Amino acid sequence: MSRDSVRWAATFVALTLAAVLFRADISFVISATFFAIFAMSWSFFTSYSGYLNLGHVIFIGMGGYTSAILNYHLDWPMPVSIVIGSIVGTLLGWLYLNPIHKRVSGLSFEMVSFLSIIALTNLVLSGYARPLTNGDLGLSPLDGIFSTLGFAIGIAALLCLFGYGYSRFLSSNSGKIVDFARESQDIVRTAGADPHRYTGRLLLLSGLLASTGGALYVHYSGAAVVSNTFELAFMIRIVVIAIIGGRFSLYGSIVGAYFVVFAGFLLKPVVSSHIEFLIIYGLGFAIYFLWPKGLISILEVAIRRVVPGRKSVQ
Amino acid sequence: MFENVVYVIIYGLIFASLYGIMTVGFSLVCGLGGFFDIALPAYFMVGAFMIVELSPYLGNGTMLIVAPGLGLLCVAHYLLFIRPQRDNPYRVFFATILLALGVESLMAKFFSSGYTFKIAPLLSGNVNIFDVEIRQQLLLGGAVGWIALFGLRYISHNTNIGRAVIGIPQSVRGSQVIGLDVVRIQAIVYGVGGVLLALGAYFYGGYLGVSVHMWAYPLVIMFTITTVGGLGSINGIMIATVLVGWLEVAVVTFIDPRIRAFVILSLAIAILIFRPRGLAGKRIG
Amino acid sequence: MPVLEVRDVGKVFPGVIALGGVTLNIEQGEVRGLIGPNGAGKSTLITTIMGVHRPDSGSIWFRGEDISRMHIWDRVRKGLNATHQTALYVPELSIRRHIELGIMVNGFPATDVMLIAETVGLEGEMDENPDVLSALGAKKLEIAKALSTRPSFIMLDECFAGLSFEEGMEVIEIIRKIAEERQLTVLVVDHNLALVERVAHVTTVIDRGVVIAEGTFEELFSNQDVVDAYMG
Repeated sequence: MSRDSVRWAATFVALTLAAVLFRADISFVISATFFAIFAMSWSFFTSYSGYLNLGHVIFIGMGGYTSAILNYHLDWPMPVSIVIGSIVGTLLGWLYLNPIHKRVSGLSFEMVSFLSIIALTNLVLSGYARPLTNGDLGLSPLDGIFSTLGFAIGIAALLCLFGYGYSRFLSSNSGKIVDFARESQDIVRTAGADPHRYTGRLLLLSGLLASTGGALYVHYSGAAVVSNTFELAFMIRIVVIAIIGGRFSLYGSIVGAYFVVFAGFLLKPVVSSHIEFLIIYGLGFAIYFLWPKGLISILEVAIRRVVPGRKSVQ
Repeated sequence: MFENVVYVIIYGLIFASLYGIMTVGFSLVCGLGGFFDIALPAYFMVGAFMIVELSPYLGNGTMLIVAPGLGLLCVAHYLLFIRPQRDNPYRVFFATILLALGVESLMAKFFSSGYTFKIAPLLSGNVNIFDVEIRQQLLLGGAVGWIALFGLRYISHNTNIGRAVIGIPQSVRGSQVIGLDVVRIQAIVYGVGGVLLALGAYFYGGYLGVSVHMWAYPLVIMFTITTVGGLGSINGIMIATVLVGWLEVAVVTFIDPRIRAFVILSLAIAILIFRPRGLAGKRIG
Repeated sequence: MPVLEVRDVGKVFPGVIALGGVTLNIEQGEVRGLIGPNGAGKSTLITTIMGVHRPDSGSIWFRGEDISRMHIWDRVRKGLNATHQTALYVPELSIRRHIELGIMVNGFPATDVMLIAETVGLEGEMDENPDVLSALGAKKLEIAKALSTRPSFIMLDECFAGLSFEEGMEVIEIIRKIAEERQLTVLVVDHNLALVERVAHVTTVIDRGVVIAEGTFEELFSNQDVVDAYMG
């Protein structure tokens, strides 16, 4: 068994254990796993391609809304809607973002992706899209997924399966080419390859998990609304989670998601939601400045003390 | 129809002037530093609340306190949050997004999220131009805005500090070589930008209301004007703000008010992809 | 038929005519020198042949095919490559990985890595990061990277810049070796006339974006235009 498969199997066991231990509050475990899915898929593209993608929720929203529209308007069975939603969402998001990442990079890509989600939110809420999206009210009720231990373990399996796939991609030849493309696209060009072909693959894989997560998430939430799909605040939450956990590590997103969701869980009875957000954003801010590599870097140091000679996890 | 066209032209020019003064600080600091400071629209919202809260005590003198106050707040923001990391546009971007959302959460703790219309106008009557009714206060805002923009244009072309501000985006290194203090100039731009934000907040908030969410749409406007006009160019801002003002009012009048942000953002996205330099100024990123 | 034909290529940058109609033919197996004063257009010519810039006029033909509008990576796959004036590398990735990149991208056997390393003399430093390399080492890495795509024609831009005469001679040895062992056609571009003279069969002189002379060094420096270009 490869090192990656052992690590991801261990992660799956740990997440299953967490779900069993916290089964009384299983909705928090599920919520944390969803955010881990969104943050990991975001950081997979953003951290390894060098393109800061602030339009990642396009995948989540396209997947979520496609599945919701099929289920709500056309009465398609939920599992079929989710599968079609995931595929269509991935393709739509990729067909939009892939040509843009070929054309602009750096701060321009960041801006275009950022402005795109504000524009999309506006479009989804507008009168023109209302027959399809129900505007502010969103598409509700949808066929729902219940908060069960089985579902919690199921999406943890999805997360770990993609985590394993992502790790394999990063250690493959394509991943090695991406390592160069991130730092210098000219090196890859003069080696005889189009760097965007490889970063485009990264974007597609990133989008597939996000879109699948998005399709599942709207059914789990019972509604497709902008606040759980396209909204800027949702995007920022994902970014903050990845930063808190450590955006240069796939495992960092899981750590970040569990940390933020459980911090919210502990804060909820004590403070209002505004203050809860303030504390979480403040934490994101502080961690970003103090430990730019996130909580996972602290965890790594601790692990290295217990298991000497262990290399850093990717 | 004729009435509608006149309406679009006049209201477009008025909003263009307000958007212009709101964007000057944002665009110039982006041009100077090569980064986007997302927190500035949040300070615009803070400024509007300062006016609402202080006007019962200070009356017509409110702006004499709020305008320099917001200017100082922006300078403090620059010195505290931006200066230490001004060489890293990504960090500035992240930090200021978090800061903006943090400011919104904090304000939401103290104020309701609904829109309030408590900013008292200086002028209260209406004027009729070609059968279009316009509030005198809004006309005043438009006039103040355009005077400020032309004034800044004059300063930027005819004074040393102005030429330095416009010159730095072309060559930060060159500016350092000839001994310009970039930090001092950036701080001044933040200060002037803050004063203009307060002016914008006074007229904009007085007309459209004040809310903790009122920073998001101005952010869209600031981005669009900056990208369409080109970073750090006063001429660019003046051309872009008129285009955006007319486009916005035309969409609201002839198409559908609910897609105004979508149309304006599509313009910004298209410019970023196909003409990253904007109409004048330098490339972003 | 020449391997490379540059037909009346022009390139204008804002305010500067970088290439004013350059024509250049290079035959298979030749080691050609390209010299010219600062700002003559040598580097623009190389980058235009490589596809970094598109020519504004004229065309570039490689092995009988018009490549003027091809992407860089397609030109590389056709057998064209060049070294960069300033070494292009990622400081965090080892020298081995830099050489592996071209081999991996093009699906060549992994055994190429050590063969190339031995050819340029980097076999002892394969697991180091490139920022430990000396100026000569950086030139070797550039050549190794270019060789990793198995080119049939290679352009060496400023390949002696920053090197001592002895180090330059070492690069010349590498050039002779690759030209002979790999039947490579080579275009050597540099300011250092003494070194270019030692390696090139024929040399082209370019000044202000146009070719002003072509021939052996002896022929060139009996040409008044060349003398004027160098003496200013």
